[in-house]
Amino acid sequence: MRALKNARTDEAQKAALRSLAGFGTPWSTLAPVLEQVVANPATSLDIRGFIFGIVTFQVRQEKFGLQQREAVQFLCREFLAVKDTRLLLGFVLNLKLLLHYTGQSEGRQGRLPIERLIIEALKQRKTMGSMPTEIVEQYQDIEETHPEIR
Amino acid sequence: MAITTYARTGVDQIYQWGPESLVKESQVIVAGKITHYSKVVNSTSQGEPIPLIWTASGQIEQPVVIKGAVSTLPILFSKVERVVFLPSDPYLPNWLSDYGKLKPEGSVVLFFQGATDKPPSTVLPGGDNPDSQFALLKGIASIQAIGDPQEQADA
Repeated sequence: MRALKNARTDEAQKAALRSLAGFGTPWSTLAPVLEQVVANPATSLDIRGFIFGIVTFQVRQEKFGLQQREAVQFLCREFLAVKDTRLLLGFVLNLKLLLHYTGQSEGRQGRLPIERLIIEALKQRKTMGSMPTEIVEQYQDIEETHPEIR
Repeated sequence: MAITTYARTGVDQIYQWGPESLVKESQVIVAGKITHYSKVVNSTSQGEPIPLIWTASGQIEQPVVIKGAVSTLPILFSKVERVVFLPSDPYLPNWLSDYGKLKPEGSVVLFFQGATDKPPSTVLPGGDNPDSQFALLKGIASIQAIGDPQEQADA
């Protein structure tokens, strides 16, 4: 945890994040540190993308148990705040993966609350201004299975 | 020399495997400057002979120990490398390719599953910033050496 906060290179931060994921660190412990890292203006775009990806991955792996909703709320906040378009594309692709996970038939009912959060964030982002073509294409793809975003 | 334990594919591997996995699985890790570098070409392109696959060999005479203990000196190693435009070895994790190729007088990190008189399981070029790479591996090894799992997670 301290290594994640104090790391001087992206590689060190990634190693710390993977190790914490490997330990099964609960979301309540991880969240304050992640919030601190993403709030730091010196944090690279690469690490911001990596954090989004690894949290998405852990949600899909159901590693956060009952705190899954809080983890998805964090992702939605980051998604709505991101300004860099390449990073935004990466975030959309990750949310698409999450929607694929929430849409699986087995146990779908239990995942509906987080699916609603993601849909709401995608809708909200759409109202925030024009998006590059590649992101619009991803939206069109998502809208085929989730027409409520249109 | 291939690392079969890392034969995992898919984009998600970047969230699961990295230097820390290799440090954890290795009993001995040493770094140092490459001496007696040699390169034997195993395969060339047809027509204009461009090396496609080769075996780079060398030794470390003055190792910096990152983990464990060195049993013999010098430490010999070799690594099969391929030209960048060939598909990468599917049995190697993607992150290993970030460190480039071995270079004469360059730096290298050797990971051993056992003693250093046996060939290393992984030969990792020093990359663009070997000092930073050595520091990262040392830091990981020192955190992993903490016995208590909670203290290790806090570190």
